[in-house]
Amino acid sequence: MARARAAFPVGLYGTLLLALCWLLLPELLRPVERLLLGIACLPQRFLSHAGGQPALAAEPHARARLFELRRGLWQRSREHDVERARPLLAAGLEPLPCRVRQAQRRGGHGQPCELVLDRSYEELAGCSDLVTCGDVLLGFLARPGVGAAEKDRPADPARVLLLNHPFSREVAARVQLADGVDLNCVVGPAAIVDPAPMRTTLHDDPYRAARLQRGDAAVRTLALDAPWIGAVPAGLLVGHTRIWGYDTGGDTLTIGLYVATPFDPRAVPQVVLWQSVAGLAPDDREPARAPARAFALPDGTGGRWLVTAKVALPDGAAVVQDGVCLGTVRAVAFGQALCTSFAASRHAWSLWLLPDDPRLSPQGLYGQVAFADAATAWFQLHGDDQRLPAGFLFTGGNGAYCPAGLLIGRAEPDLDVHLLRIALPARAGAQQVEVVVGGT
Amino acid sequence: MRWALWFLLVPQAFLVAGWAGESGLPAVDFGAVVCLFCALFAEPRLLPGLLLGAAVGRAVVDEATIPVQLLVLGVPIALLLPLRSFFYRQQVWWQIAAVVLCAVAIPKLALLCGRWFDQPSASALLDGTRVFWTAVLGPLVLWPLRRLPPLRQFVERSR
Repeated sequence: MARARAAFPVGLYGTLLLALCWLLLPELLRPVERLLLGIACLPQRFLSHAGGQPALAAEPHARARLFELRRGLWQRSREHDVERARPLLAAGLEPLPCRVRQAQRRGGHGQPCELVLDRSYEELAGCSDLVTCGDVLLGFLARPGVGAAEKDRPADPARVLLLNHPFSREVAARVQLADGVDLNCVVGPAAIVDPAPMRTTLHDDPYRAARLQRGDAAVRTLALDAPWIGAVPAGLLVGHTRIWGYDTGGDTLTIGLYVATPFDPRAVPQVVLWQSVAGLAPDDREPARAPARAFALPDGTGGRWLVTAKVALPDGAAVVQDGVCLGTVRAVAFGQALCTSFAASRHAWSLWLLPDDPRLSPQGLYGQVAFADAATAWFQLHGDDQRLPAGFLFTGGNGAYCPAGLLIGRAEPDLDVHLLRIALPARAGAQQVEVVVGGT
Repeated sequence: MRWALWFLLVPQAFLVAGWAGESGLPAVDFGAVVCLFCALFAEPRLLPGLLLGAAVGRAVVDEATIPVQLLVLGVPIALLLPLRSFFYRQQVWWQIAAVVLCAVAIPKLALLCGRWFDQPSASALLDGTRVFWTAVLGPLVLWPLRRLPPLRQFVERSR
């Protein structure tokens, strides 16, 4: 009987089943988890107070250097993101750069099809619905109470419907083919299972469209003959073509002519809206931060911290020290949170690279840390291999409590492993930090 | 009292193992040692509580949440437990084989759970050196531990 019990431990199997249910309904048992982890962290909290005074802010010259870097990031991003689209748009429109909080919801090709901004619909009421980044048309600003934003209120964070969103407007476009003769068409959202986020329809020369042999042609917006209030200006980049079809003995018989976006929507840290009357200035306000104390937990990798504060800390909030992002937290009970450093984390990050070369524009990146040691992390990008320049790496839009523009570290391409090598400032013991508690 | 001690001490044991690794001592996967104890020595009816305490401890040092830790630690125990009937004397070679299986299975399960439940963690990386030291030191570390409280109170009585 005892052997039978040992062979079939009902309690153990029940626990595993409970774990699966817990994963399916995480919010239901989240308070229990917070409490259990909070109790488990209490001895470390008491120990941390015996660990001496926490390290304080960096020296003034280091802070000044960081301030310069951040200012350079904002200035250069605005130069490149704003000025390249300005000649293409109507003369009266004034640019308004907005930070992206996060990309969400699956659209064409399974890519995210919405961007949540750090401004509300109310604030953006005077803006045109065009949303650009450089000379790229990203999508259209949603309107509260209309279409996909039917349930949104004016005070909610504004959403951008990207061109692969099922409710996005279709745009007239011109495919710039190598033979110099353009192909006109309409670009609209593709399905989730399609090989690219957007699909072309209504080609002006269907025979040519069916005989295209090579993709990667630039697709730019096309002006309409009859001007109307929702018209899209000509010349904005929509993406590049992808041909999908049968291989008929060397030739391709095209089934679909798709359009790939110039960059991953999850990597976009900032977009530009256009106001008909210049009323709003770019929002340079920093989100509210609460002072906290971080204590290194010996996890074997040096990437785990116990953070204590006098206020409740939100999940996913960035832990910042002197403008440098240490990592993000998961809140537990009793005013505590567990922070996983950038190097020790394995979840995906949206980042922003400020190249050393002042002629290059800041680049949005999306990927995750592949491996790390005490002072270096190797970052792997999602999607196509890109040859990235050396520069300084900042956070991109990683949620409401991890805003864009926090320094991660110095980044250089590692040609041996085709990854981005990031040098991180080393920290140990107790540290005086700040945690982002107010949404951007 | 034994449960209070278990829930109080087991997270600290994970941290001590981490501190040893950071200090240059041989890194031992304490999760594999706990699995070894649960699979070979613990009273089967007490396994849910033991597993929960171990999962909380591992969640302190690892990015993934408690339910993922329950699966990562629980599955190797569930696989090894039925074999206890055949290896009831718990010979050393069997302990070494079992702890190696746990030390390999834990990162692999962490990798799978990370993918399935979108909770990737750094512990999903299989480290051969760590497996070696866990195989060598795991049964040695467990030998005194299971003679001390709180583990002593969870050991299955011989029938």
